[in-house]
Amino acid sequence: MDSIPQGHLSFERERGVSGIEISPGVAHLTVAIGDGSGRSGQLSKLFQSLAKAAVPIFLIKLHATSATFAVETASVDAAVAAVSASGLRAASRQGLALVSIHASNVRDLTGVMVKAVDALHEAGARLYGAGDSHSSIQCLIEGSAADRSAARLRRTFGLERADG
Amino acid sequence: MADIVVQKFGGTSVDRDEHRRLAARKVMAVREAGMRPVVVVSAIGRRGAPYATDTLRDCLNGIDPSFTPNLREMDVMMACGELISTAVMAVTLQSMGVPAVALSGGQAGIETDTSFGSARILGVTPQAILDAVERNEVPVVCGFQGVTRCGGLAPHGDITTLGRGGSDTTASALGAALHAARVEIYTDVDGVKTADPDMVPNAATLDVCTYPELFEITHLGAQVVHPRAAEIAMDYGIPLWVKSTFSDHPGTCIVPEGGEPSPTQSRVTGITHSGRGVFFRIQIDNEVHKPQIEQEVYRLMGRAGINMYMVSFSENSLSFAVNRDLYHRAQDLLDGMVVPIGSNPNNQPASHFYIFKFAKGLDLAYSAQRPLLRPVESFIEVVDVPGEVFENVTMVSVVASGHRHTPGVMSAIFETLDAAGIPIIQVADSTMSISCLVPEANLEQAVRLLHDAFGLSGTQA
Repeated sequence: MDSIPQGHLSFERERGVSGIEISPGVAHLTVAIGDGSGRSGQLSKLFQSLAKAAVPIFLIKLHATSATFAVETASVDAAVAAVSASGLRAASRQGLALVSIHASNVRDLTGVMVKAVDALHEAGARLYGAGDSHSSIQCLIEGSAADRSAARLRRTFGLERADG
Repeated sequence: MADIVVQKFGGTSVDRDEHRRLAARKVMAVREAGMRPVVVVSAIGRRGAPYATDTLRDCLNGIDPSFTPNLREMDVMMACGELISTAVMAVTLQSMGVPAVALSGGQAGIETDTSFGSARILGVTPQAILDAVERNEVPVVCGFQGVTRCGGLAPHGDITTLGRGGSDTTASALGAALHAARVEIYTDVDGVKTADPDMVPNAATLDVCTYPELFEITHLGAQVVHPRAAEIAMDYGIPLWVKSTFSDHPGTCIVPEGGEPSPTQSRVTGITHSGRGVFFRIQIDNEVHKPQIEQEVYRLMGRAGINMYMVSFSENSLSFAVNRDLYHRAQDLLDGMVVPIGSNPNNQPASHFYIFKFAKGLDLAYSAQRPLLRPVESFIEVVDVPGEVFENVTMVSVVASGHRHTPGVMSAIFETLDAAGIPIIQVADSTMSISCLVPEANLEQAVRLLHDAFGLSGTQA
């Protein structure tokens, strides 16, 4: 009979926040969209134009009078041109970093967002965008604040040893 | 052990004699193939059935509606469902000529922490299972339960339950501890489907699916296997199958990314739906004060135990969704909330009072509070923060691995829903999916349209 690992294996992952990841080189684009009857047509043109220009977008958000999304810095010019081609105007903010706070089932955990925002505030980082999925919360901040924000977040979530 | 196969049967697979016999035949087939089955069972049936977990919970809750039962005693009660199921299944196997032995979670060596009601498995010492297997018996193990680990400050051997997905989690943990050849999760559908078959009757069954795809599909609504179980199987490299007790369909094989058989790197796997929510959009025009006001909203929600999702900002707004069960609590907290903001970084003295205001009928606190602020208006600027509420929304998701490197997925989603007049209230995306918040009334139509738009009918990965 094969030997079986005894006793002290931990079979389940730790609950709560498990890691902080920084992705530099991100830009955030804001496109003004009307809030009237032409809104859906404008959004449709915008997404079609970006698809046609083969620009991958993420952190897509729809607001009352605008749409925002993020692109990698290398794609900014193509994205701005694609937005112009759709008859709209984009304002871009470059030099940002995407901070991802990983936690399994994060939408069922209370208070992660408030702790993250407090930590970013304490690190002097301004939040330009945010998103969430079942496994992470993503925050868009200035690239220059990324390292100190990551350190503060690791301290907040007790990950200093795990993540270095 | 390379010849052990862990087979987990859910509540609908063991809810009547006819179904238990079908399940027993799956066990016998494994033995006939020269492998050694280890069976994990859930409680019999679903809410309303006499030994279902919810029925047992209701029994304790019904003793005195004004008294909340202790979680430890609740776990003792809920564990009875699997104990009954295990004995019934073991005797069913014995009656069909298969030697079998029923084991509780504790007897099977499953040790947990002391989080009654949602315990975390700390370790597995499966000696009793191995002894049974060695005697050529089929161990039939209670899913969903364990006992607290002896030692330290923890009580010794208290019965615990594992919470949501507990039986799937038991199966994967046993698979890992026993180095099983595979873990098979039996349910009432043929495998992982491209959409909810109740909404899309022609939804296909995937032959193969990666672990990340499975996480996304299960987290975003499909209840075919619990993500906790998938995490353990992935972390320990145990092959996982999702199969039906009621058919001979081969099921869905869950593989690591880059594993064999290899699915395409970038593909749309399925359309899922989840959640019943309410969406708030709050307009904050002062860009300088906006971060502090947002922070107060997060703190308020965090203190009240209200989870926010689909959070987003623009230059002049903050929006987020909450579960519908928490809607009135969230709305009560926000209505009339006053955030004082200072004219200097230390917030002293306050130069602005921001007060939250919703539409007529939802502004009771605002209406009462606003007049009270009139006396201070000569030296403090009082600013209304208008809020909008979108009730009865839900989330439909396109599971699309690699979409961040494949332009056009969002465009296709928008085109499809917009053409049908279905408004997208908000969007959230991860590396594996794009989720759209839509009115609940449009949910079925949205799922069907997206399923067709991405060509998923009849898909075989």
